[in-house]
Amino acid sequence: MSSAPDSAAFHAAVAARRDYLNALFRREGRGVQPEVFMAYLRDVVGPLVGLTAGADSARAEELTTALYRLTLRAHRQGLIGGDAPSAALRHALTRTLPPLLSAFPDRPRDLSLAVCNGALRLERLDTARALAWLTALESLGPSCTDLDTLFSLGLVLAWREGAAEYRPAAHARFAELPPLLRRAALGVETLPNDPARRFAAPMDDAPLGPPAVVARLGGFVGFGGPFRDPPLVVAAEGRLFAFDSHSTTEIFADAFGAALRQVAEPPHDQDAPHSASFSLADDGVLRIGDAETQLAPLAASSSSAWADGVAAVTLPHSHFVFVVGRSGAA
Amino acid sequence: MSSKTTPSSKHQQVSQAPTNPRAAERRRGFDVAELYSGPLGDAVVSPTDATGGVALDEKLRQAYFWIVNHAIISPFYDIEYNAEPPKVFRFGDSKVEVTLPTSQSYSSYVLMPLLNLAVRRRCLLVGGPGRGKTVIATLLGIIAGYDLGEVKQGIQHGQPQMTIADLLGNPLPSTMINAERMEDIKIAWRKWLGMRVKIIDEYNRIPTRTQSALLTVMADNYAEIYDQIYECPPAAWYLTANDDAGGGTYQVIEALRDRIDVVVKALHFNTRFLDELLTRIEEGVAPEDMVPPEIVFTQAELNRLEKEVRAVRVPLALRRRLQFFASEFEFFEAGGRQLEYMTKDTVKVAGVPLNSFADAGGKDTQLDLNAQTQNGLSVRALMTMLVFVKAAAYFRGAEEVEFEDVRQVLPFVLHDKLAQNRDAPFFDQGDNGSLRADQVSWIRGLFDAACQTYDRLARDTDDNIATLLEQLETGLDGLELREVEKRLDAIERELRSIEAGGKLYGHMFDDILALKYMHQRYTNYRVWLRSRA
Repeated sequence: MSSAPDSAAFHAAVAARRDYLNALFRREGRGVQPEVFMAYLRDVVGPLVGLTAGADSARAEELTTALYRLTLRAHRQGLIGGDAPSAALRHALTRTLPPLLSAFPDRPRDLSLAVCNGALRLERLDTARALAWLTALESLGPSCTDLDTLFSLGLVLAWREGAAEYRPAAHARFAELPPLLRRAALGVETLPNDPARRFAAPMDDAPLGPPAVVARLGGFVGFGGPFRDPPLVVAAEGRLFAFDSHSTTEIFADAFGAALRQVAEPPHDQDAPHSASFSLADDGVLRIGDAETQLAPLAASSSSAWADGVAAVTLPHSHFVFVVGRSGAA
Repeated sequence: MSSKTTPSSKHQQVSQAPTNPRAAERRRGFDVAELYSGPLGDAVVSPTDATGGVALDEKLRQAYFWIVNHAIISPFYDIEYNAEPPKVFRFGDSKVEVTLPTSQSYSSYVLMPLLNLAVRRRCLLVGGPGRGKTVIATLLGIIAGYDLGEVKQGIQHGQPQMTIADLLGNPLPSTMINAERMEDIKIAWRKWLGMRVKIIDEYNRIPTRTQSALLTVMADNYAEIYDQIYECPPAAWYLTANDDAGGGTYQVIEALRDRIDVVVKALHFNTRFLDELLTRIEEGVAPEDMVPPEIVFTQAELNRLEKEVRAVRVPLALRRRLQFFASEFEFFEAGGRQLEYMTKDTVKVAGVPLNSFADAGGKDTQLDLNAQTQNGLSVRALMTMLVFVKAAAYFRGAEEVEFEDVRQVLPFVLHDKLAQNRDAPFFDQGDNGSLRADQVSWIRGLFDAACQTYDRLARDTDDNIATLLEQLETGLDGLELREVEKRLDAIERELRSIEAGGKLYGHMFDDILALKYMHQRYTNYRVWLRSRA
């Protein structure tokens, strides 16, 4: 490792923990090219440690160990320096972590892992959304009072960027954020409670439009989807589930996005199949609350279910789940 | 649940949360950590519990999976859980059954020591040399927050010359010279006494006198030299021995053996995993050097862990079943003239060999579980049993103990607590002879047999004695004479029905004594009521 002027603390830390780091590389670094990893340490990790640890040698050691481990794993998995490197991870390590590690000196390992893992998770949805999440964290993160608040903010921002499965947790965490951060994140201080407005953005108070297909989820397993055969949907315990002969997934959808997620155990008790708030006739006439519309593609559905402002419909010859809701009319 | 890794990266990472999806499903709503866990390792934000702290059951599971995947080669799943009926295969002339568990199952050799860390009890690791007994104890020391050097320093290696001073510490010579009273002598206590993980390697090689000093530390949590006392913090103990029978250079004193809460056997090395050994040699790194920080517990977390384990509920129906099982063993009909003294304890205290008494005869050997043991279950054994079944349920992410937790954990807790009566006719029947050696299967079989009897008697729905006890539990205040007499009649009816049954079995012994106890309470109360009238 050649010395860079701002990496003295990093070099001292590497020297102090040399045996451990070497053992770590021998154990966890199979397949990683040493020179590529060294170059990365020199060019990215060293300056990051130097920038955020300053002259604090204990902190430099802690940071070095955490980032060494993290980037070694990333190299091994091809997320750095591989055939398909992760743009989100690069952004996280070079742009997002420097201001955050400076603002939050405690628990550097948790902070760096959280930001990088979160970026990778959102990148699976869409790279642009992951980058938007990181950018928002860079600008709003340093305003958080502590790391727990930062993690809560990150969750709310991830939900905003389309990770619909975090909706219940994000709702809970949103209430814990300071008012200013709430406004900065979602434009409001209080989230609307009305399930009917689930597909309208929090700031949007325009009247709701007619029911419409707001998302299409799933797909045939041969084309990368989760279903081997056309799925069916049920409502249980106030949640929506889609299942085929092999697996059960939970449906998450709202104004920010929609997602399916595998569940370990299928629900036991189904909710009543009919609801006063929702109906779907064989000819595709669909009613949500007092709004009714005909959605011809959904005629002769194989199943439909309704829970908490979301309707899900399946068709006998389709591997998709159609999510229906009422967006803001605007 | 193992990490998703390539074969070459087998020693690399902590399993991703949730390690038990069932537990995570139950904790829905506290999933902030999901966003922050991933391929690079899990950030410690979770999954969080209701207080916002790290979910320690998840951390415990991650520690378990790291040990089995990367540290100890223990490809055995002898603690089996099934969500659906498992597939069963039968092999050989003995038709030994091998079941393929359908739910997350565990290796006792790793799980039980880990649970022992959570509940801070005393675990004996038994097995031949080189099977990783000391390694697993060392790993648990590191997981408890010590560095490798501290753990190594803290290990007490049993050897025939070990003195009390070697074990506990030495008086400082300068204070001995100047001391006018015993209190003036200062002791340089050994550092291990203050550790939260205590490891005694080859405890059966410690001389008897030193074993007695060890007993004081293990049993009462303090050490004493020259009238000076050292109070030890609560700790998880790990003792190792090569010999299951407690032999070795010195016979282990009975009181010391009795203090051991759980016994785990190091199983043989499966030669199919020889390549794994080769990889380790080539890597040149010991697992103790590589414990990931994610699975290391702080002192505060260990305290919270123990508290959370204690909070796991044991449902009433299961408690009843456990009562029934535990009641099977103490009764010894030939051991006394008065029912209260018809116990194995009476015989033991008198120093008379159990087998010198004539067999009561005529009892169903399958039903008479009592005949298979030389002793009953002590209060300490029952308490340990409850603690470990709670720990097993907690480890699986459950809020209350389930039947299978009890069934799986019991053999390891009662391993040294229930002494087998190897001369019992039961062991001469069919292929039961093998149970003389296989203590785990024997104890599990005892529990299964007790449960069968319990179900046959329909005790879940038809337990008049439990109902009578519940009535008494509500108190006697304000009870009228007529009601008291009604209850006395009910008690006598129960006694008559047992009387009519003929043979006396273990579970009836405690029932009769409980009925007698209630009868006496009501009788006294009736006398008092009449005196007032």
